[in-house]
Amino acid sequence: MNRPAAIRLVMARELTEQLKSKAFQISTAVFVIGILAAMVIPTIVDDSVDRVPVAVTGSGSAEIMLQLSALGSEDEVALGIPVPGSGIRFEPREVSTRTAAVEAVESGAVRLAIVDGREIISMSQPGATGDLVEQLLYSYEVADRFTRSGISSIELLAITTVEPPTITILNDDADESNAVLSYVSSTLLYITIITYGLSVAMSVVNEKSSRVVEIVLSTIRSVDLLAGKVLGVGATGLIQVLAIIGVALVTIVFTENLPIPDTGGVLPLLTVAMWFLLGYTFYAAVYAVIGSTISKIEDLQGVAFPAMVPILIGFFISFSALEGEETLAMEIASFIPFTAPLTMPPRMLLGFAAPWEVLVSVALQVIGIWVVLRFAAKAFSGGLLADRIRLREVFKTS
Amino acid sequence: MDVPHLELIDLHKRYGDVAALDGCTIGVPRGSMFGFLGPNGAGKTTAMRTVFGLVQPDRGSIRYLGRTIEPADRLRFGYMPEQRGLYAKMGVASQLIYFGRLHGLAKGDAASSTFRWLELLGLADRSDDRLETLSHGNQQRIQLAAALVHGPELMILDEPFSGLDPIGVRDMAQALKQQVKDRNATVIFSSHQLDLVEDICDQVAVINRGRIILEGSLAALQADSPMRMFEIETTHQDAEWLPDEWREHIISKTRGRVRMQFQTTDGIDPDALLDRVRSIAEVVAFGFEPPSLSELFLSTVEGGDAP
Repeated sequence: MNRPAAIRLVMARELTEQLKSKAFQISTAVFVIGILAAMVIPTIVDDSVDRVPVAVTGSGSAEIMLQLSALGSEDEVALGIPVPGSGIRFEPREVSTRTAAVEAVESGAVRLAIVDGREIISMSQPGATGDLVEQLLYSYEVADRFTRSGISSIELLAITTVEPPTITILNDDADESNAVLSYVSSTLLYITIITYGLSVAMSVVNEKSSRVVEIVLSTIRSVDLLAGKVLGVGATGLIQVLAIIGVALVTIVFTENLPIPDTGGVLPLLTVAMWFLLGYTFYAAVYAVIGSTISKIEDLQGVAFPAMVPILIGFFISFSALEGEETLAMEIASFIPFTAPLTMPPRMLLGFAAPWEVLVSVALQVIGIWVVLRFAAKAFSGGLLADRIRLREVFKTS
Repeated sequence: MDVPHLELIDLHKRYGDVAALDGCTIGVPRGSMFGFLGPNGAGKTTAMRTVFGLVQPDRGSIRYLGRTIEPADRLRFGYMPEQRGLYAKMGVASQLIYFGRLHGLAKGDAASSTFRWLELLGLADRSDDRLETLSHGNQQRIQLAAALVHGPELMILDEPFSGLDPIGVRDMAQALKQQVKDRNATVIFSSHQLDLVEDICDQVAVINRGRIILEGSLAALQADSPMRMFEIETTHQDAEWLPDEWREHIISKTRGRVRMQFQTTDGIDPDALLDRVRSIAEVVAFGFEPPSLSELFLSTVEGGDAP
């Protein structure tokens, strides 16, 4: 049998067995449910409404109370009131005199009081809520004057209804949606690279502990077994990553929870998928060698930890992207093959990385992969038939 | 003489201070049932692994049909390693198909061969089950099928009979003999069950401390041996009647049956022996024969390098 056929065969078996495994099915389900929960539930159960009690007294009270109640509800649009902010619900109550209104504010029973539609009473500077009430009172006064000068509220609505202006953002580097996206993607990369790197190690250990590896190696070369494994497990990982990103994008479109970045949905997806492949391949080779040094799955935790440290460091460095700022550590880490898969994607998504930086980083990563794979291919065969050997001995035999 | 199907020539392999192979040379004729014997740690497994390139010898070579072996040749071999192993969580049929295809079979051929073997082993109804759900004995049968699914012309089986019950042993031996008879295949296997080897093998090699100390056709080895076994059963329930000069020749005493070992150089005449016994005790059974394989084995392994 020719070697590509052998690699394909190993890869196909690995892919089928991984897709059939409970671990894959459960983790995919958990990811998908997690994304749905994080994105859909807030839009259904919007609990972030700020309830503001307001005391109203004097002339125009009834009309003002009506408009306050309507503000923030679906009716506000019908009333022709501009929608300055959502998330605030006014709870107006009528009091008899200005003195009673002052008392209500002082006692904390209400946050604001409105007198005769011309005065706002507050303990301190009323802030955004005050602005909102002020605007409402202004609109009310204007509408009142129009009515008195013979223009009906329907005519007024026709005059005042205007399309909101379009907003053009010239520099969206610190766009919040991109910060969230970069955080989500580096988390996804962190989890999937570790998960699938470990899957490669586990797959190697399982074949060693079940001894089946001896039969496999009696027919094909260890390098081809390594290649088939890395490709098969990697394909499984890519399927999961793409499934997760796909679900996320579909959810974004349907819930409009996050605006899709101006770059469109495809570019971040490709960025994450590409860096998954680069980071995964790099670490898969590392983990394959680690797996080849032991023969019991219980020993994996201990020997795998050192390879997790650089992934963790990269992940923590990528946190600074959340602040929308770029740190020197992040810049440096995005060129080191051990940490680049976790730090370059956020820099790319946030627009920090210049094209040449991306090219250099990818090139260094590819070189890193080549070096690690070359070494892994040699080291891999050294450990396969031994029960437990030290990494140092693997280096020696290679 | 025909070119041997497989030759191991002057193989050397050291692990630290231990010489696992120390000039091991074997020639295996085509179509033979070849027993590869030796005490634990003698180098059997290492020798078998070198054939598959799993162990690189420090020195020496492997020849297949008279020429240097190549990786592609190994696809025509079947291997059952000493330490059994299959994919526990994989389906029975799907992994046999996988092994068939690893050996270069096309998908359809691998599948039809798999189901033929499962039928033969009486496990056709378990084809979709995961291997780990099968009993130990049935897993062993699948292990054999994994070594034979691609119809190898040469099989190397490390302890294929260990852990099998008598029925399993009989079935396994039957299946292997069938391979030799039907397809002129060559079977090389190691075993500690020397009676079994004596029953089914026509060729044997004994390895000790990394080198071959006995090799050839079993019948010739027995005939050529200077040992002659004298077995006699009398009505006496003990061996008290034995003349003193025979006591040092006793190998075993079981109830009334005594087995003694002489050398051809001792100038033993079987008729005289029998007459001597008759004058002392009533004879129930009498035998004068070449050594059994097990006796041959013990005497060569314990007697050092010379047989």
